[in-house]
Amino acid sequence: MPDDAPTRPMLVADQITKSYPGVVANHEVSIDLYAGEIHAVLGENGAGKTTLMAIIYGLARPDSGEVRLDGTPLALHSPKDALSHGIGFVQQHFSLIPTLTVAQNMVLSLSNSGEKVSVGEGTERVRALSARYGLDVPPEALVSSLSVGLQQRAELLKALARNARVLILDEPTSVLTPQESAELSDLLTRLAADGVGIFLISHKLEEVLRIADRISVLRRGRMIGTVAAKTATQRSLAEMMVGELSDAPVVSAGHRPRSETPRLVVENLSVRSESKRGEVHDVSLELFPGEVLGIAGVEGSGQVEMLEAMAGVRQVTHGRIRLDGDDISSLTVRQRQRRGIAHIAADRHAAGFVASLSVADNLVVPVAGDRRFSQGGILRRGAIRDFVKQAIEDFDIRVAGPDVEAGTLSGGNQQRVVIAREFSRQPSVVLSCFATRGLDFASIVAVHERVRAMRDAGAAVAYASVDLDELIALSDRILVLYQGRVAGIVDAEGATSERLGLLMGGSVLT
Amino acid sequence: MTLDWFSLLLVAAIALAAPLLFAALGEVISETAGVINIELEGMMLVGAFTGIAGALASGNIAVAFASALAGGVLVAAVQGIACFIFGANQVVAGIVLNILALGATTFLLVSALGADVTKSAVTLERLPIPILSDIPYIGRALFDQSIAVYLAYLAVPAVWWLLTRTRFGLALKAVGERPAAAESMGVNVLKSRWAALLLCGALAGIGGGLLTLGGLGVFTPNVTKGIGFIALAAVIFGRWKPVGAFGAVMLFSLVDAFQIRAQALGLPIPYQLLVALPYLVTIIALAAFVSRMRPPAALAINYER
Repeated sequence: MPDDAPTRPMLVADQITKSYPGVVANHEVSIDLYAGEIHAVLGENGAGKTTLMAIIYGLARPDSGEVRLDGTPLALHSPKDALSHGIGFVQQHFSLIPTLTVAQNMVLSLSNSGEKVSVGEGTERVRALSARYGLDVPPEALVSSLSVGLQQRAELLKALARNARVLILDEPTSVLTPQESAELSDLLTRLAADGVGIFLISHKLEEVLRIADRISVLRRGRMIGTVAAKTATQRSLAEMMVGELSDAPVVSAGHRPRSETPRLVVENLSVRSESKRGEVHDVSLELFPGEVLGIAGVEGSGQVEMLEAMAGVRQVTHGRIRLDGDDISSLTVRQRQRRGIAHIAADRHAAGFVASLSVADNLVVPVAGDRRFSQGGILRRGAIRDFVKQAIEDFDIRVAGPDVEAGTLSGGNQQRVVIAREFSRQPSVVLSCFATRGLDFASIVAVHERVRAMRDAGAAVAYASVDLDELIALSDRILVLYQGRVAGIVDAEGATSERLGLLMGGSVLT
Repeated sequence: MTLDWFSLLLVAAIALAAPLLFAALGEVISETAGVINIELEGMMLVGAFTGIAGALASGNIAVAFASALAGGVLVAAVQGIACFIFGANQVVAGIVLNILALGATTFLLVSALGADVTKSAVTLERLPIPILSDIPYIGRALFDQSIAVYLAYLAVPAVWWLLTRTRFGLALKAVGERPAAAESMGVNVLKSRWAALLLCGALAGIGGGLLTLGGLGVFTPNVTKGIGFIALAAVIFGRWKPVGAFGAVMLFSLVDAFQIRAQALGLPIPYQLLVALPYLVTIIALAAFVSRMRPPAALAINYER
């Protein structure tokens, strides 16, 4: 809270309770927001952060409790009501129409509030707001042609154009480079100085400590407490988030001796993509047994496509992939799996697992052809049941039973299913993309432990992430991609996020 | 209306249901894998045609059914080439194939089967099952039918088993929901979809063949009269499950059998209205229930890697 803060909160969510079938997402949660403050909302996945914000924004209705603005209870039936009261929400998935320009999106958004403006006026509005906050958003550019960072700014402009007094941002920095994140922090600070109250959902402790005035922590649908950022530490916050805290092994792996012959060699690999942002150009790399090669780069630098091509999910346009010396570029996914390649897909929901199938079915699809699990195409249900039970136990998947639909699990447990499926084959090459995205603290630690265990067992691991601290902690070497090309390879020991960030942004360093 | 009247109603309903059931089960398999076949009608129509052609050429009922099956597979193959190889929209390709099937069979009726379109071919004979067929009221309906009808019954549990108990079924479900995930799990999406599509063509072809070979043994233009679309609707109404599709098919067939017999009763209702009844029921059933149904997530979406 700034020192000259008003004495009465602008917005109060009072004793909010919201249940969904089987879960209490919010239990008597209260939170308030002063004009001009940045109030961070922290919590593990499934802690109820997004539900709480959805209620304040009118996307969900509470079972009990109320939201008050300036002391008056609000009847929020839809986001339209929230917007008319000056409450804006920048969600993780932007609500922009990609085939329209920024200005056209602005016009649409304003017309929803009953304000009829022409495209020309929309353009002016974008330009004016853009200039006022130093945002540099081109009004006439198609949204689809903008970088994720610019799209986010366009989304922010939409909320600002509707005179938002309360701004909610859901993990806004998860898609940004360190530099873009810093710019966003500046912007938020400036908005707060203008009197806007900001709820910032985040799971990055360091970021929250840096820019928030107050921090509230939710755990399993309950409010654990609200603290001033000045008095909090990373450790105190982490403890509020997860309860007790074991000393998480977040230490640099350091430089490790490795075998002289690479397991996997990529030669001049080029891969096409649906969007220009994902193309891979002429990438060469070597992956040694017993190492973790971190892959850094902002999202859309080609890391997804590169790993997909290595796994066999995506066609290689040019170049070669060798496994233990043999060219595997034209082998199918299954053939590569048989040769020991495991793949943790970037988009868990689209490509990692099948939400509507049971946990058991998900675990068994890639191995169903194994003689252990099927005979003449007919599934051996007993053997499958035993295997699935073992995997659930070994990989600590928290699920009521093997027949539960995988889509109903929490993100962390879904990822455990994917990892169990891929790692139980004892692969010799692991290709992992954004494996910890959106996971809670405990699940992230679990993923890291598994990856380290695979490496220690001699697997060659390629591990892509947009979180530089994670990469530095987990990797032996880090390869940085910039616009589909290798910008550099550095030793993890001694690497700093500043230096990697510069490489990620295309400033070539040596 | 006596019990005997209902018994005869059931006899007629079962006979009507069998062709529909084959097509609907085929479509269940195909849609589970994310492939929609608007050309189900065309598959049946071509199957009905090639079935008769095979029967006339060989005089052998087994050959006739084999050619009916091949006719359905042919249509499926064209759909597959259009959609999987050339990336055509599945619905658009399906509509075009329906038009093509109608035109081609009508045209070939004279040129291939000869001018004497009334010439009838060998047809399926009834094969009453001893004892069971003597059960009062339902015995005749259920157990005094042709072998194709018995096979249609058996196909319901067979398709259920295929989809739930085999590796192939597991792969189809994954492919129909999240093709990208299936691919990264090592399932060959295209191969699985081809298999499901051709299987659907085979079953729909047999269904179409049953229309002509199980009846009068003649092919008339547009002999299917839209029942391929009814089978499509039955898949949705049956929630993409074999047993559900069976229930939907039976409902439609009972109403259809009823309207045929009601015409004979001489009720003071315009017969056009009676003829429309089964279609009306289908529309109402779909309108009433369809909002609560969740199709396979990747239905009708071509997969490109």
